[in-house]
Amino acid sequence: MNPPFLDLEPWHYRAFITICTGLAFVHAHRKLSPYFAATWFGAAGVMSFIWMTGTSPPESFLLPGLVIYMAAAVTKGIVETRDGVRGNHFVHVVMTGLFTGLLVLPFEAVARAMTWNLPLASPGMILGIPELGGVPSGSIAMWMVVGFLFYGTYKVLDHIGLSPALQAVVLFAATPFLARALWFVQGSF
Amino acid sequence: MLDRFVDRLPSFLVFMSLALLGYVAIDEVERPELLLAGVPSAVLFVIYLLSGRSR
Repeated sequence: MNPPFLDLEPWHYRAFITICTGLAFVHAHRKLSPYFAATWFGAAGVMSFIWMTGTSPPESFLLPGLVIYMAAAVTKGIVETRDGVRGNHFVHVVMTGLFTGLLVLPFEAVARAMTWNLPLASPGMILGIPELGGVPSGSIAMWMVVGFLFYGTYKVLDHIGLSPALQAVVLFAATPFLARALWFVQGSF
Repeated sequence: MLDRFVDRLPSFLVFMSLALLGYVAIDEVERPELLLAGVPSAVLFVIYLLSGRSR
């Protein structure tokens, strides 16, 4: 039997996701800029809120921004040390999407095992693969699409010559369309 | 000191997610097969550390 303080409850998971998001925000703030941190986590939160139609608990809204940020940071660390693909934005976006689906697995597996809240409904399987560690393959693919679309949009806006202020406005304005795209993709799995 | 901690935050976050998964799978629900969900993250974690960008 566990000591009482180690019996996990939903609010522990909520606190965990919130603290991790705070740490990711600090990383973005120090390593990139306060402006980047605010626009990234702000736009990701708005996208999640619209995507989940405002009905999910707080940790579900925070999870996409956190996981995509982790995936982008890990991608940068890995890709930027390979001479062949250094500075290749397309590779960056594709790898971030892929890594989003992989890095979310522990969070999703834990939430499913403990019957805690998940940001996504449970999509079916794709490519005949049923699941990995209790997470359906359709859900993993869905997360990859989320990472690809959000980071892809961010990258495009970052490289078409918009001023930082206009870039932030367009990024936030794009969030309803991203949510719509996610509903469409979600419905096709 | 703080800068060194901030530099390592992405690896720390991945490690934390794996630690949570390990605790839940082994101690909380006692379903070790759930640890499979951590394998891709663990591989990425090692590749990331070896790439040297986490320092």
